[in-house]
Amino acid sequence: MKKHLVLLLTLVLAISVIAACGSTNNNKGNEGKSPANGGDTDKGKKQRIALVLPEQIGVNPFFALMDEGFKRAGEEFGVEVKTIESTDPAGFEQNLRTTVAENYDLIITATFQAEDALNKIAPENPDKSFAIIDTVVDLPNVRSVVFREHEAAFLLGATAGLSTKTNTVGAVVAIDAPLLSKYTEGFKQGLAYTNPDAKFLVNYVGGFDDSAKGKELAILQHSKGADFIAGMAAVGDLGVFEAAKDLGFYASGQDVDRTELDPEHIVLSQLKGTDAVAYETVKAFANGNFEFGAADYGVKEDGVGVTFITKDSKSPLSPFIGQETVDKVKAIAEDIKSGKIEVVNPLAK
Amino acid sequence: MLLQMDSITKTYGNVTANSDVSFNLHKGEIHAIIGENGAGKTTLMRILYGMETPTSGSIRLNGKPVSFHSPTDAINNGIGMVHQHFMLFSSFTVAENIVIGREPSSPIGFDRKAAASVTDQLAKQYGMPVDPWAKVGDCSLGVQQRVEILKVLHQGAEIIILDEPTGVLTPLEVKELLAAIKSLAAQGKSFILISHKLQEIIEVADRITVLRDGKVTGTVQAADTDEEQLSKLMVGRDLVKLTREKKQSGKPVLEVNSLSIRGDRTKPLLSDVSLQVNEGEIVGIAGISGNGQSELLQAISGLLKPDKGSVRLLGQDVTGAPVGDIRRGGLAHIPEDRYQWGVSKEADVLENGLMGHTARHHKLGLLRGSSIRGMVAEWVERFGIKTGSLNTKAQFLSGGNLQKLIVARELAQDTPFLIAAEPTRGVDVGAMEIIHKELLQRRSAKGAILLVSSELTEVLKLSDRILVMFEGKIVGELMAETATEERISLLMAGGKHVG
Amino acid sequence: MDKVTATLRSLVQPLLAVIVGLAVGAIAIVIVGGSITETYAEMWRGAFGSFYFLTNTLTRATPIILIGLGVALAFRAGFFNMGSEGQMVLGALSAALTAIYMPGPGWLKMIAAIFAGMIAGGIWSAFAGWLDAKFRMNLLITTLLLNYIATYFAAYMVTYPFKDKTGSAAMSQTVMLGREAWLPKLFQGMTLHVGFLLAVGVTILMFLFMKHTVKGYEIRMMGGNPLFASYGGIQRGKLMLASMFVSGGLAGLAGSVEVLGTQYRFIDGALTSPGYAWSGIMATLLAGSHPIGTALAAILIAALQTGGMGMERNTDVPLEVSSIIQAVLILFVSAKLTYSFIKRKKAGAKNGRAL
Repeated sequence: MKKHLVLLLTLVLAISVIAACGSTNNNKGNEGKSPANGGDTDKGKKQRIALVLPEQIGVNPFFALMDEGFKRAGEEFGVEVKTIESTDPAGFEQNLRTTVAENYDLIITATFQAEDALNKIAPENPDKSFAIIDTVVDLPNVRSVVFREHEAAFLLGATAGLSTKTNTVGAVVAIDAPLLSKYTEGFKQGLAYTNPDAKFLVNYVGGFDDSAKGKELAILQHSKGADFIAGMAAVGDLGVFEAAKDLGFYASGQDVDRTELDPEHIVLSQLKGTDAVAYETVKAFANGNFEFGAADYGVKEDGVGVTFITKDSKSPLSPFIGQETVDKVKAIAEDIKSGKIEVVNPLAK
Repeated sequence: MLLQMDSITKTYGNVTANSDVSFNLHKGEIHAIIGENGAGKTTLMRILYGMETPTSGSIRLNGKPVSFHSPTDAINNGIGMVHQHFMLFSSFTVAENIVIGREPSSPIGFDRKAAASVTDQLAKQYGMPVDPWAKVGDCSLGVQQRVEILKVLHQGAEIIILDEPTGVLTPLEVKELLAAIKSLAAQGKSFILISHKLQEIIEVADRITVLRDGKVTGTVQAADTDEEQLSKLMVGRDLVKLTREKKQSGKPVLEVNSLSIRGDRTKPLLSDVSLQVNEGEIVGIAGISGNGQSELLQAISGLLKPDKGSVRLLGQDVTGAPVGDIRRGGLAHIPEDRYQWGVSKEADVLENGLMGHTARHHKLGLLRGSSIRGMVAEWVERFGIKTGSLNTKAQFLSGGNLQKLIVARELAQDTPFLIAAEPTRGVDVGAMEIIHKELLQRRSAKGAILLVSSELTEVLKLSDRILVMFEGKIVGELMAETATEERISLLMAGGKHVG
Repeated sequence: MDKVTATLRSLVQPLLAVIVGLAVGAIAIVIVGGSITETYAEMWRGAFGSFYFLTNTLTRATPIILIGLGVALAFRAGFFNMGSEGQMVLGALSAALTAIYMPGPGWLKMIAAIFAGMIAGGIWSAFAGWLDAKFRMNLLITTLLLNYIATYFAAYMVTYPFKDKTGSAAMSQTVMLGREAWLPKLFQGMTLHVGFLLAVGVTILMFLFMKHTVKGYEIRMMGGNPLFASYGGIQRGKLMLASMFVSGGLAGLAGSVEVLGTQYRFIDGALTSPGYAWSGIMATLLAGSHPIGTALAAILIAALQTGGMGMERNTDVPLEVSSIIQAVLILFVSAKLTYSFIKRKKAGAKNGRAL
């Protein structure tokens, strides 16, 4: 009896599949005719843009901020926006493929975790438009948006150079990879600009999620005399902050304003405007000036920055930094914007 | 009349388990119910104990009609049951087990002392001594049985149902139990006794009701009957008297030489056991269970490695060899504990029957379904195994039918040597007859059989030679012609070495 | 008739688990303010709504089926192989490295990679079996703990010696396999790959093996009552090692096809974060270790996951709700598990004493 039921169900399923298959084909037929690029706005139909994230947003400020900017742009420019989170890499690829199948006008994704899937899917769908934030995927139908983190790191290094009392500063970095040299090299250049004699210590955690090791390395650097340590280790930063609180030195965070956690010890934060970038991408698409290829956002475009220097903070300014230093570095920021100071991108070498 | 069950009929689908069964019980009476496996004894008792509701018929207690919907109903009406498998918590003390469900309480909870004194009082009143503080797990089966009965009495039972009460007891414990039942009956308690053992029943019961195929075939006064009449009522025909052909001399098949197993207890499980079984010979091992018989059999069949000594099968040294090799070398084995060793309850009749026969029923590793089916179907026919179908799971077969399946399977291995441990435990008279006949046939066909049984009558009936085991040693060897129950009993209890 | 009722009865528990799971999910949907019918409709659409989504679901089911079958085999033999995750990861790593570094034509790389994956998974699993046979280490615990060793070892391998140094180099992963070693996709533009056919083939083979071969019979008997099996002359040690090897080999195969058919490289965490191994164990438990039932249950679980993604894409109900439904499923299934586990524990204790 049950076997018959199962058989019946299978049949029903098979029929619905065939039916659905037919309708998908129809969709594809339409798709061919409709303009792939949203350049000329279709008055009759709202544009649809998807933001597909390789992870769940959770408490990750990087993605939360991006989502925020994305949604704001959607409201402001009258575009239908949808954020899709993924639980795992396989699921991410499926989500990305599904947004293609569901015919979104533009599909935005982000971070190096998305590279593989996009590298597979974008060439398979040459008449679809994609954008990727925070990494470069060099394909004709992909717009890559990256940050000139080295500029912000320059400002951070410059501030550290002016503030240090021991003439020794450090950085705890996630891994020794080209991507992260933008941070360390930028920092180094900024430090040398304001304080050529200062010593710069760099240590690598070896991963993005090890706060215990981050703390250990921060303690080590402090014991070598560093009074300011920049966290550049993702979750590892939390270990750096802990060490700063325990031992009473100063630290800085990444991506969002981390000074709110502990303004007494976390005195600076190197900002990455994922919200601005998501916002700008949607805006460009809605206004018809969306272009493929690589684009980068630096201090000038407000894509990156440092708290107190380029952006105000709710936290009080630490006396370790001082208003005088802030003013000096603000001037440096202006010089970067105007091109008077050129920060060397180590990846461009 | 204390209890009256009138025209009870119980059907499951199209199977009739009880058909128009009437049964009654006086105060202070011991009334036995006998019958073959599947005759409907258990169903009748489950109905009385509230575990089943009858399809038709009525129950009256002290003249008032009653109907029980659960064992709790039955208990509250003064009916208690001691199951074949004891339902005790082995890590609890005797007293705790007895008062369970009706615990005396003190202001801070369970009152252990009161429980112990209640137990002492019960034990004294009914003449069944127990140690209230002993852990049940440490008690012998005989004592555990007493605990079960005391528990039922503590629950206020006037009618006590005993299901196969002597199956697991030693001869001495059986005697004590029967005496206790008689004395309780004299104090006004009534008993319903379910048993296979005709001799015991005739000894202890006042009346005997015989069931066959769900119907009552007779209710007789115990004083006016004998085993033969009862067997006839049960089976529906006269039983054939088994005759043992004269023993033929033959070559040795099994030779066991000073086998020893230390075990982790202070006393060795097996010490220096030597024995020999020849072609065309049945050697019986008598002994109270737990005196090394299990270990001896396990060592012979390869399930347990001996510390010392050797086992030779057909001249081959098989000491410590893998079970499969020994079986291929010529051993079949009816295990003493069928549920532990003999079957997989989750598997069906076919699968349980196939064990040890795979070599003959496969082609390139693929099982040949039809030949397996044919083999097992033949056993079902020949041994009268009652099963729904060949695909019925073993757990749904009664113990006796399962035993028949195991015996059939092991006899069909057709090996020169057979271990038959408790071959008829829990089977009815008809099946016992078949099994005994098959064993004797095997003997006539020059087979060698090592028989272990806690039934002295069985050992005496079948064996050519009888070895008695006590505390891991063989303490005596008797020839069948000269052996008597008394002599064996003495040896079993650790008496002097004879002959 | 007997068989039909038996099948019917065996379906009651898993169906009940599913129904209760959906009911609890409905409560969760109401709490977050969604519409039950719309949400479940989206879930259905996300899992089976079109041919595209069906293939998506089957893709996700592929590793779950293979792992489930492996676990089912071990369960049938009476062993709790909880080490599928580690076996899968080692299999995937071995497959990836073989496909990358082995010379020769594409088909050869592919086949060699698959075999390397199966052997690596199998050895890792049989190792746990050996520890049990030799030192009486509890299999449940060793397999569980060996997961950590395997996943961290694999993580180390792709973070240091075999790390992809091209590109941003921010991920712990191997370089991408050559295109010629990729398992072909079954349909253009869809994720479903040849690995699914492998999984279906293994399902049928396993079913036939368990039912119609001598070894399959011996495995079932050993799982049903180990004492009965040893009494009947079945050698526990050998059979255990063999069944653990195959069980782990199937987990290794799952990892291999995931690498060769979906990810095209070994990425640290890409196999563990979707919880394939635990989904596979769940499928086995749902189906009571029946091979075909396990495959169907695996598809059901995959459908819950892809359906959950669909729900998340098209409604405001968060992904977590589908996780809640899954969790309730596990809960109800585990009620059955603990029961049967305790039964087996008892048998095991006896076993220890007697042997």
